[in-house]
Amino acid sequence: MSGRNAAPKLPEAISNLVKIRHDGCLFLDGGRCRRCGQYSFPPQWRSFCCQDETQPVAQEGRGKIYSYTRVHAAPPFGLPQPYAVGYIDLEESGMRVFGLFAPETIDRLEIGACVQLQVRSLGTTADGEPCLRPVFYLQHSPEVSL
Amino acid sequence: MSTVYIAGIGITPFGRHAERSLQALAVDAGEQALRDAGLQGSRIGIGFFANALAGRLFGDSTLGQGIFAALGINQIPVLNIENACTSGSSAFYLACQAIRAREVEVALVLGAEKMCVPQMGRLHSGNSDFDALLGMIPPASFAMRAQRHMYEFGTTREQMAAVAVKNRRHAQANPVALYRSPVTAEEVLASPMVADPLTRLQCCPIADGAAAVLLCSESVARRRGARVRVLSSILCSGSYQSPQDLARWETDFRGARAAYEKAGVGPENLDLVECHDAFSIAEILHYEALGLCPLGEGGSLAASGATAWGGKIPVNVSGGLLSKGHPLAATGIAQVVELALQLRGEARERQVGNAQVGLAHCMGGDLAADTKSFTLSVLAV
Repeated sequence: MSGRNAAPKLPEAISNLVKIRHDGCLFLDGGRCRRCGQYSFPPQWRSFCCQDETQPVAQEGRGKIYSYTRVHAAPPFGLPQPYAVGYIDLEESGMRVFGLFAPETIDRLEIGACVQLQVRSLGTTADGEPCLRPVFYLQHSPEVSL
Repeated sequence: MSTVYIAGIGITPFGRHAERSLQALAVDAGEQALRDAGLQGSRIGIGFFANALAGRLFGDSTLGQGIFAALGINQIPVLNIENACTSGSSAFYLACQAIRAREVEVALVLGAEKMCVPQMGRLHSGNSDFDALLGMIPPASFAMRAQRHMYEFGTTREQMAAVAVKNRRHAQANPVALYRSPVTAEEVLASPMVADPLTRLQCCPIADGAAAVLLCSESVARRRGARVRVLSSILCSGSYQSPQDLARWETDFRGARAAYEKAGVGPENLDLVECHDAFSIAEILHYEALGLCPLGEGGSLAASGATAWGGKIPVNVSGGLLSKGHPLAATGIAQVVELALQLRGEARERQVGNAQVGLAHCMGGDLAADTKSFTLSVLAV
């Protein structure tokens, strides 16, 4: 029963790749080719480009929306209905990564909009646990930039 | 190397088969293919059974040997193939290789799926998949491609709806299709939103069903009078390099180039195409990758009527996945069954006039904004 009071955790497949730094900022754990510097996410053992080893690299979860969609179908894993997902072009590396959007932003999404990553509870899973996920939220929403 | 011929085909109706097991569906299709070829099961040199979901839905595994045994076929090599939506066409690819290499004279490929069961739930890449945990489901993946295609090329919702309307119109003449009633563009656009801009009638329905193809070498084909031959059959996976361009699907283009090159034909030689229209936008993307139109013009091509029966290059005259339904592992084989019927001139009301070269295109799974698996086969008489 040790889990009862434990803080809710990100699913392992996510926490392996998304790290919360001591200042609360979220980072994506990717890789870079040792020879040419090509990025990979998830990190690869060997790069496609040079067939060489990669070294770990943490990237800030900050970028621009490349594409998105609002999903109205019944959601998996206790995600909210509707929810929105998209591909984000990360600022540092140009990597295009898949992600969820913060629920309050889903009606204001636009290709090219700036977003940043944050951990949120999005509801409850079938086991009654909080559905914790990294989500992108709009950085310069019209309301804020006024 | 031996040329590969199609000696027999079989298919069950696609839809809900509550009273029939997965095995019974597969045996039905297999029996039809054997009868169609006029060959005894004892002539089969290798067997492939394709299935994607029985492990998850029924806790079953390695079903092929039992299904071939039910058809009176034992002792030969039997392989069980899972490769997402291309499970069936991947098995077809392997069977072609076995014959081309002269390893066997005759191969039987079966693909069956049973999905209309309460435990089906939603299709995704798995409980420990990073993208799946973040809400990646197949309609979302294609909706993001659609958004990007609209943004870059001005593709419209109406053009996407035209694909669904066309394929439902085609399905009226296909007795094995799940949905055989026509729909209007207004109905397609007014159906419930699944993932914006894709509405329900632009997403293929799940189904139960099975399909079978019996392949043989040139010498067997000559004796049996089989005329449909395989010009090329290719299988490839994605590039998985970031950034992937969602509006210009590199794997789709690369796979098409490889298949045309091996077959020694180009898009201008095709009389018909069966492509993986799991979603309306998918068919538009495939038009462009297959070279049926220039990049960015897939939407206009769909709206022009050129890809309808009677048009310049009919696509999915079977009704496609959008109307037939998509029993995953049966789909890729069902496409080959349709091409074989058309090339033999036996497609009745939906027969494409003087069909001599056809192409079957299938894709499956989602990884790093790319497909996990891609197959393409070019058939001719």
